[in-house]
Amino acid sequence: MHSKQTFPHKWDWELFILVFILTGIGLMMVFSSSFVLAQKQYGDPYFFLKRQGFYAFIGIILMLGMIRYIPYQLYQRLTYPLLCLAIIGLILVFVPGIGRKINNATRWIRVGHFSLQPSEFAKIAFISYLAAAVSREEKIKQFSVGILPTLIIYSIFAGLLLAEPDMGTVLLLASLTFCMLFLGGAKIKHLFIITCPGIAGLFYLLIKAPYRLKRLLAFLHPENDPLGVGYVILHSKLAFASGGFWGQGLGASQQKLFYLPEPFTDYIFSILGEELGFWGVAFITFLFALLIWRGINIARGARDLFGFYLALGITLWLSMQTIIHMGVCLGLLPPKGITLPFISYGGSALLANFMAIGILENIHAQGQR
Amino acid sequence: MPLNQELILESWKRHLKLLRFIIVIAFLIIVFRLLLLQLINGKKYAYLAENNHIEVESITPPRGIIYDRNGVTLATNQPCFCLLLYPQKLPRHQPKVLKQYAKFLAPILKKTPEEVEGLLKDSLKYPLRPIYLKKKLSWTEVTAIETRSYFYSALRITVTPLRFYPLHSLGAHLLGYVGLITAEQLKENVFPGAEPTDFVGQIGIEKAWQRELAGYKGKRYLEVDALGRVLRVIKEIPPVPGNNIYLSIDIHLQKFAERLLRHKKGAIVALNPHNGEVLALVSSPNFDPNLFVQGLDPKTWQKLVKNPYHPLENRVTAGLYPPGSIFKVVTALAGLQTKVITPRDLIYCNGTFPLGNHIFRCWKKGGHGWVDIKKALIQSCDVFFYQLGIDLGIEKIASYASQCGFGHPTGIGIKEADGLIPTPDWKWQTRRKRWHKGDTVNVAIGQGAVLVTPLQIAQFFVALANGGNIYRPQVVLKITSPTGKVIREIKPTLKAKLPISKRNLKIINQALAGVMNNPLGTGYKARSDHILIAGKTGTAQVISLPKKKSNKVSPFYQDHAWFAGFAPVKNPQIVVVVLIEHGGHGGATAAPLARDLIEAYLDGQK
Repeated sequence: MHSKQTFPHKWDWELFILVFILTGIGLMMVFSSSFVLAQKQYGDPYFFLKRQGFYAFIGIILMLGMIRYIPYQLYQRLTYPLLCLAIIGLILVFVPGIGRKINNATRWIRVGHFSLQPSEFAKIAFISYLAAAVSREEKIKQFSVGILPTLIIYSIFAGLLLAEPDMGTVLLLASLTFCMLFLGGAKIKHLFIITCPGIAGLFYLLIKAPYRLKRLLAFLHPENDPLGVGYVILHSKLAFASGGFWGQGLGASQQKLFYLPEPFTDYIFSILGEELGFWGVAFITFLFALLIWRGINIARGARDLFGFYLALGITLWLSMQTIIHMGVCLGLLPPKGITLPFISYGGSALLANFMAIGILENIHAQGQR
Repeated sequence: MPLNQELILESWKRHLKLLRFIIVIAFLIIVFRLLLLQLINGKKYAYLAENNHIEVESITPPRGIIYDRNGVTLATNQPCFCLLLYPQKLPRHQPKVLKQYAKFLAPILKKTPEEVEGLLKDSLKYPLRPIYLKKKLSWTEVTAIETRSYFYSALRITVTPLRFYPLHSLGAHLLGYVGLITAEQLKENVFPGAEPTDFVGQIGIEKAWQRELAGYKGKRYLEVDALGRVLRVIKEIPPVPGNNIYLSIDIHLQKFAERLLRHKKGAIVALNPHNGEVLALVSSPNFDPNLFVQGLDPKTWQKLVKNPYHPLENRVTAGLYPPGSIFKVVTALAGLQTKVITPRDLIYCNGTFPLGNHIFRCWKKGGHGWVDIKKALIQSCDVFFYQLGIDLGIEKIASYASQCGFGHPTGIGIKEADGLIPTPDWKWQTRRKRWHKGDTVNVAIGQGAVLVTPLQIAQFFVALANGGNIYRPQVVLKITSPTGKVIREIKPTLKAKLPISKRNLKIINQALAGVMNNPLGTGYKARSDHILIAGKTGTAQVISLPKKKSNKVSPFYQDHAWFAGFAPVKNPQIVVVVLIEHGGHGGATAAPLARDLIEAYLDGQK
């Protein structure tokens, strides 16, 4: 296989159309949930829409370029350089002058007029590493050469992400690692061994700062503390309730907007529920389910083991983020700052999502029926 | 590979099945939850959402109080009933109701219903920006609105501590004023956390010390029903009032100085020579800062802005004037210090000074005869300084002027101008013209392009009076907490030393005393009968005119009158600078005012 080879013919149209519909809905929802705040903060109701539209445009170009010109095997060869790049990106966040702090979280780096969130791109690097690691099936059965390196690299990522702090991504990567190792055929005994310290660490964190536990469990009974930790959860649920079956109509959830922090990122699903109602949310949920279905099918059709695991990892990532975001908005899971792929506002996340689709489509293009 | 993969896939089919199963279950849970929330239990939540919700309201803290040095209140707060309009609650699709609003509000706002309707429609452009419809509501208005609040939920009456300046225009230029935050300030986030209904310091001390004065907002959590009526207060976080500020101003002296400048255009500034504290700062004409708090109607605003006498400008810090003869002190200082001239050197003044094909003239037609540096300062002989200027050269004059604090801001902390000391480089850069000796001659007597602020002159004279210490003019003495505890005391800042030796300073100060006390001195007529004053008069030409009798000249072309001085000569207690725009001769118009102020201050201290 030559690196100059292009893959123009075998596109998974179903996946394409799904992604475009979701991005379209995302743009619409970003506008309808942000214009009030944008007007208030920037005097321009289209502020967030313009930015999101710009990133969507760049993302689509990036995706098409990746499908045509970047064979996914490259990620296997470049696993370690990519990992280094990701780690450098995560470190740059703390460099004064380059890093940016918003709402007490140092997650961004400044590039010209724009801010990038290295953790979003780090997810892709990490997933390709996981895919590369588990595709060497002879090693994955051994703890020292198969499991331990993965654990070390995860710890580096987790350490940097905790310092930002970005607890959501730390947990996301942990679940991804676990799932990939499991699917990759790691021994159950080994999986058990690596899970134990994690759970112990979690317990330690919770006991050390009891407020965390309180916050973690508040989602079960938000009514008990409507002004404290339960505030957001309660209002998120109220948003769904006031949507009913038909929804309030686009842009009509003005009143509730100010109750939900970050209505166009972490709680966009709630706004969706309020404005589009049950039928709209159900439809979008269905679209996401289809997207994940396609992802698994692409994995099955991959031409080699790395492609199989890479497609699987990406699909897992997207599905986890979707399910966690929805669960948080619906009050089923404790609040964690997790965005909804293709829908939530966030340039880096959108770019990373499109890159993920680019990789999936490339795996499909090279795959076999 | 492919064969291998087939095997792998075969063996992992179960895993994939499990994965699919888990994902399907997850989505089913989500859909089930949606059904529950939106359709089955929906009514309960929807009722909660629509009928009672929680609103968070900011509580504005009272702004810090500003006192003079003796604790006299200069700026305080008055709780006022204000009428706020929340446009997002207006029934925008019901023109009838909108008309009702207009009809109801018209008598309160003293406008026609049509005007009010236009205003309401305008407000809908920015539905989330509450608008002050009226400040200082009367009791009858409050009751009228409150009793009808059920029908007009977009209106709300708040009790807001509004800024109030009890002495009105007194000290207005220094104090500045607070005004409603502007759209630009909101947009650029000049004041983090600010809301559209906030008042912020817009100029003067109010602006410079905004962060100390503002305090921190409190919060009130309200349970509100569907119509926006408050059902109960759930929780309240009280606001933290702003800190108080003590200014160095002595309000009695300030009042006296303002009275001296009444009906005149000009500036007076009085400083304490020992530390640079500002005792009085007057710019005339002035304005009433209360106007800005209540909100200016466009007419009054235009009147203030378009007034040819610029009442809003702080002439002391931001007014730029040619210093005229006052600048001769700088030239003399440079001459003595560079030893270009000694106290014994004499120059002959016959009233004219030919240079090239141009003749510069002394203000005294017949000339002063033989003059030394003291006599030249006392009688303000132009020819002496023309010659000294030529001997010094522009570079040295400019360098010394800059070391004396001219040409750069004093650092007083409120808006001020830099001033200008021209140099050949400057002339080439701005006008693309070469520097001539005639320019140097003009600069030597404070004419030409030289521009200073009255505060810069005062800063210079503080240094002359205290033996050579250039202090940063200081207006804030201390900051206290709302309960009166001193949080911070501000010490005088010594910026630099005057570039002059003790001996030469003594010569200059003797000459300055002579200006007021020698019968030939330019300020002799304005001397005090019981206090020894030292000073320098100045008459700055606004535009060079063909020789005409001065009483025929239009007031806009008349010379500016200057006086700068300190008293008593031994152990000075006060430095005073007076500027009268188009006032004519400094000795005749400016010096007497300075004398009166000095007498008032020193006699009052006894």
